[in-house]
Amino acid sequence: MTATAIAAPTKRAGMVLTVWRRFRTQKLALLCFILIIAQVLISVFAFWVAPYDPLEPHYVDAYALPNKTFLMGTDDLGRDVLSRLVYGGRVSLSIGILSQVAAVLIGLPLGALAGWLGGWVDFVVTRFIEILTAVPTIFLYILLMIALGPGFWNLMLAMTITGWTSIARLVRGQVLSLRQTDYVRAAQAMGGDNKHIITTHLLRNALTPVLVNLTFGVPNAMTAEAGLSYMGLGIAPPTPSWGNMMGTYQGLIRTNWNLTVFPALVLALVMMTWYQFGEGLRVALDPSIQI
Amino acid sequence: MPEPMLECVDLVKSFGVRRGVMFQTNLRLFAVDRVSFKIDEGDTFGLVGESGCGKSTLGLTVMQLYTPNGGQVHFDGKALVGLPPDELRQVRRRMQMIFQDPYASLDPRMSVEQILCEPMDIHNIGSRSDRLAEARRLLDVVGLPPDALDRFPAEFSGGQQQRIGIARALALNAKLIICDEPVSALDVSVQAQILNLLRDLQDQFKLTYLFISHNIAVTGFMSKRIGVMYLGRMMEIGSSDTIINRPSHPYTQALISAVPEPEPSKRGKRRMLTGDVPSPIDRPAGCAFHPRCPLAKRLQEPERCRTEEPQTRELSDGHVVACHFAEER
Amino acid sequence: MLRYILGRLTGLIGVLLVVSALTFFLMHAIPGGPYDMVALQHAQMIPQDLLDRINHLNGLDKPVWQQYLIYLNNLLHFDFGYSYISSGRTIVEIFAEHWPYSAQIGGLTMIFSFAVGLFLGILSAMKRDTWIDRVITVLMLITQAMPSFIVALFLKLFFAVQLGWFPTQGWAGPNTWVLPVLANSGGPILTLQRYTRGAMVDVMGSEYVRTARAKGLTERRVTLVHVFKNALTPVVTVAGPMTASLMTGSFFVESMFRIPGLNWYLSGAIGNRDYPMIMASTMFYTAIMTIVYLVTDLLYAMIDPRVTYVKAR
Repeated sequence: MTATAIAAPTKRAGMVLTVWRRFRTQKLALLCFILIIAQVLISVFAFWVAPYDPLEPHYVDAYALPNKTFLMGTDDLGRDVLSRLVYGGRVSLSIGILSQVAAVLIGLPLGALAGWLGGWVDFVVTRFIEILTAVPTIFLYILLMIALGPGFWNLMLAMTITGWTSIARLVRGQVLSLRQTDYVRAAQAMGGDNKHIITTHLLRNALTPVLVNLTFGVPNAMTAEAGLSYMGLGIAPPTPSWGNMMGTYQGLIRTNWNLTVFPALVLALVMMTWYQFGEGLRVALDPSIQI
Repeated sequence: MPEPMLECVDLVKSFGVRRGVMFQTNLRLFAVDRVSFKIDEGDTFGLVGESGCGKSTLGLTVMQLYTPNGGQVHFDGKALVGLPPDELRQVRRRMQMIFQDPYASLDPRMSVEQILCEPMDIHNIGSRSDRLAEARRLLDVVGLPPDALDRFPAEFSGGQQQRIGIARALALNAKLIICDEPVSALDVSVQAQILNLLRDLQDQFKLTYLFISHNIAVTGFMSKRIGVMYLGRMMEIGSSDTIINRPSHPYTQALISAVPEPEPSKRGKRRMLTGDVPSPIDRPAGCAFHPRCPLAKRLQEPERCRTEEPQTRELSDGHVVACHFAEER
Repeated sequence: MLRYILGRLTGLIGVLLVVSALTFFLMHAIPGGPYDMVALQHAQMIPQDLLDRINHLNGLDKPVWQQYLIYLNNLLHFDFGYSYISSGRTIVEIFAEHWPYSAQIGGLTMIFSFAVGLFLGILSAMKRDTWIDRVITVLMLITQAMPSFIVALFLKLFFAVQLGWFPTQGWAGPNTWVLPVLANSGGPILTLQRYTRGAMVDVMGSEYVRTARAKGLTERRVTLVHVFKNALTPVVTVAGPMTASLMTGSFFVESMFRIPGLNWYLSGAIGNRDYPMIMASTMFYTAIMTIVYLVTDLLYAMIDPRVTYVKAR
């Protein structure tokens, strides 16, 4: 019957719409969401947004402070700082988002299986998580990056390896508590097998904290990338990254403050928008908070 | 004599419990301790007892949602314990459950249509339009409008949510429905509606119910036979009439006497129980009820009550009691 | 309980073993030996026979798994070997020389963050929804968005370079302590403030506090006596791991301010591929983290003597 057939897709959309409506009421978070979209657009269209080629040296104009030609000045090779910032943003954003997505792709199924199946599966997964979390994160990054060498995809790999554990733990906890709910029991009573219960009930209900975790994970990942690049272990020059810009030029802080201050400011601002967006999303997704 | 629809023989369900901080002891909590009873087709068997007596656990164990640690469950001729998973899945179509908290028993993120179609999806019954039609039929059977299909559980009242739960239980043409305190969470006026609905459905579809409740009046209304549980053990089983009007076990007597009777002339002597219900982990030795038993007090604490666990024995046709001194009045 | 402790200790040893194995094999999987860096420094190739002798001396010519077992054996004797780069110094010596600096930063940071974090948390809880609370929230928000090295950068730039109030580097006297500790404390203060505020607000609305108020105690007494005591529990939970991470997290601060702590030394070691140093540090910090977690869990279990565990089968 056509009426119900049309109703079917909107039912699922019904939840999304409700969340969106709730999210919209939080003005600050909404603003940050728009800013994030702007960030993504700028990164994608970096070629058009950036005034200069980030790798192109202008030796004559090197070490310039902000002026009319180079809005944020130039570095030691005369490369435009603003353009490098734009392209650096591309790096930060893509690492931030992609690493989290990868972490969820690995962590979610592992956590769900560990929580639902229990037994040796749970044992193995939990041991893995334990070992990975026993080592301070910084060390893990360092060890991995030394072993792999600097570079975008190596960094992605390292961040995925360290990042999946928190999602897995979260999902596992969720699944463990969802196991005790009556509707899961009812589904078992109906004859639902593991696969059915996980895909139909558990994932649906565990989604909220995963989404929130993911959203907050992005700025954390960006910090990690910045920190590692700062130390020389993340993205290597000449590819611009906010972190490696800060790291390379920190010695020039007295004279060419623009080389470190601008990347720092941009990083801080971008992270703030993500944190605010995450807060807004968290509140919108929480059914116990009245809006 | 036809085979009973459901028969439990010496069913046991226990849990491992650790207590203490420094030196932990491993204890066993016997939530269900050698319980036996049977239900004939089309009948309702009521299971009463106080909180913590194990009746809900019994329901879940019968459903095989908990794996029993001992005993057997015979359903529709099949022995359920030890059944291979595939066969159990098939058996599950005939045995369904309604839960105490109507909202908790429905996935809050699924629409009513998805909830009702879920059983059919699991067993791959019919096409998509068949399932939709069936969902609409089920809504009609329980007295809900067809536009409920597109809505989510949170949009309904408690009574309506329970109706959805009932509709879902009927989706696979189940024969046995285990009702775990189905009306305890509802307002009194709504309770009556749901109970009447259950009875109508029973007549209409020849359903068999295991009706679990802590409310004796409600259980008496619904059931043909009643079993009384205390701390995991079955204390007395008998017809509804016997249990309510001529209970033999001192615990049953106390429970019945506690039911408020509006008619002053019918009010019997109130038998008060002393003390609190002990924790199921620390079950008293011998008869589990003996520390609180008014009969034991009257008989000056007989040795037998303290040392020997009473076995269920048949007093008269269909009436079993687990008490050493059930004949005493 | 004893069983539990033993179980956890075994777990700890297991984890350390696995970590040591992983690190060990990881380091050896990297192409190039430890002397490449030295060779680069001196801009000459090391003659092969010399290389062979050194390798033999250090046992580097044995198969990898054998080297691992030898390493483990040494570990048991607390012999971490010699640093490859700082010729002639044992790891233990290096640790002993540089660890105190890191410990001092860590310790001071802890004290400072706890004081400020708890204070701000209590303040924002007691005065919630007033302008004070909002100001604190904004401050915390800014802190959250700034990783420690950025904070360090700005502090250095502003207070040291521009204003010249504090020296830009070194660690010799209270003067030098201010900026590094400030930079390091950002994260912990944020976490502590959040947790304290959250816990206090939760407790403030709860039943037994209402009872205390009904008894007629003054607001302040209610707060100090009842609310704070009970809000302390989640803070204690957080305190443990925070201590652990404080010890490991001062990388950036140390390098920014040129403080000769262990982390600073470590970044040099990493650049120079000083394997024994890297391994030892990893093990060391991992051990600290795991032990701290264990102690926290134990304390928790002691505080909560209820039936802890029901196994459904």
